[in-house]
Amino acid sequence: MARKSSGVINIPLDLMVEILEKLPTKSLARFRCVSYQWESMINKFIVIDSIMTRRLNQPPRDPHFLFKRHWFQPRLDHIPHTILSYTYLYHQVTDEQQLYHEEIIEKEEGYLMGFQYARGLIGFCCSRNDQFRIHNLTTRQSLFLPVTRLPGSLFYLFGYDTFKNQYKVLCQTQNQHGMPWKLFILGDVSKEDIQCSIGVHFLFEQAICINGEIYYIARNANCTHVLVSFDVRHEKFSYVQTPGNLLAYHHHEDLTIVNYHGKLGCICRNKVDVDMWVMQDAKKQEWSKITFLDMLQSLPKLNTRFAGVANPGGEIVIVHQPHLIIELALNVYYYDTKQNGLRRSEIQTTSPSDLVSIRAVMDHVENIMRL
Amino acid sequence: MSKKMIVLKSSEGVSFVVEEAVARQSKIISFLVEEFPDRELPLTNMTSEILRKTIEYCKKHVVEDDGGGDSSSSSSGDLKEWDVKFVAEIDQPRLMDLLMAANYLDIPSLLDVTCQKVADTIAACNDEKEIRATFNIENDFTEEEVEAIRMENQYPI
Repeated sequence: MARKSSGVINIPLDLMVEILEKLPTKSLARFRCVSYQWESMINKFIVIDSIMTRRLNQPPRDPHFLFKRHWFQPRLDHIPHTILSYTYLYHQVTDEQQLYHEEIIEKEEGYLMGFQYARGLIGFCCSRNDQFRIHNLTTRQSLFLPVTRLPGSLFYLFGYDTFKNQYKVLCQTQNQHGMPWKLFILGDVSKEDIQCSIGVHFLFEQAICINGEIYYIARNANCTHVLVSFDVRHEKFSYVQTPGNLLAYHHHEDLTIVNYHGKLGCICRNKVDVDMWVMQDAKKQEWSKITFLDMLQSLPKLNTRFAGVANPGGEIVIVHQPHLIIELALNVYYYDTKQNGLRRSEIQTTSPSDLVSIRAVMDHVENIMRL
Repeated sequence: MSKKMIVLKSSEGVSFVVEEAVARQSKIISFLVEEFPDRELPLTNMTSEILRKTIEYCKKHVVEDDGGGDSSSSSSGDLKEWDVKFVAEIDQPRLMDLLMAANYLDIPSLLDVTCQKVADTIAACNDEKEIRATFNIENDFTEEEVEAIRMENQYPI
């Protein structure tokens, strides 16, 4: 039979997509430049669809990020720091010595603030220029948000709309007096102003995006703490009712908001035990409470804080506060809520420093979307 | 009781006599056998070589339902090993034909094995040039466009 020898190019699109889906994420990102057809196939059919399936097919894993900075510096705003990413090597568990893959994301000067994670991307703000930066952990591409021209120091909220597959960043100044918030949509050059319907409030410290909703702890005009949610798709703010005196806990790191199996959870540390409140119904704002009596007893008697809940494992992840000696600071503890057991893991680092601060990503997915 | 046989005919007109249980792994053939019993089934888009390979795969994977538990010819670990060897022996153009045959005849497990083999071949390529050469793909990007895409992801190549 006289015909050209078969090549991929003769294969129907659905089959080609099936083949490409079997490729490792790194190969997909690299081989976009094979041809126009490959690029559009990868961008159109794989980038959006495969992320969720990839997460389901892989065992749970926990990448951690170390924000490191040197201690003794004459000027506080010129502290050089390095951001490192540690990816758990789930496929190489045979080698117990090397559990994490270390990568330098950047070397910078100044503080890092407002670390947030949304579906494969991290966002953070550097004190030196108050600019928000989005970084794709899979492709290592970074993007700075345009300058907002808002006065004073700024804070940001970073979230992902699961319905429209859109990432959005909100920006506001601490000096606001009913000023509109700036809204950025990733991949869209324009920026919009949106008004907040619930009054003046300031992001206090924690923000987390769960199923298209950003939850954060804020201070309102009376300086009381409130829990606020922002619907990323409809761009609406609302207050979240919290049970009892939940927010009264909020001094230092005693209250942590987490993603608990896709629901908003609040972990509160008491003197002897630990409570976890879970918002069972977001519409009715119904909460349930689980108490862990022995969690603190099994922990070392040092300053620790909750980093989140592992997904899908359900373990509560605990890290050290950032002012300890390096050997201890790299320990991570996993509390199994079903067995009530604690296990310890250590992040190996090649660049020890005076001060490390750990941020953990609990539901990491590989994402080869271009920024 | 003698096993029911069916006849498959390749594009060159060569007839293959196959046990029905073997051929029924193809959902299409399964459907055709029920609709047109006792008829020769013409597979005009398949060469004898590819059809022979497909039958070889189906014979290995057939699960006999007449005997006890041990009647299935191989354990799943052995089967996997056999599959790997099976696709490793096939050259690139024939692999693509086999993949198309698996797709046409609707044999999910064979389709999966062949797709995986193609994916492994792609992943083993050092750069996009090697992929284009292996799969006969024309490069319709300009040098600048390739550079722009490359800049977007910082993986060391």
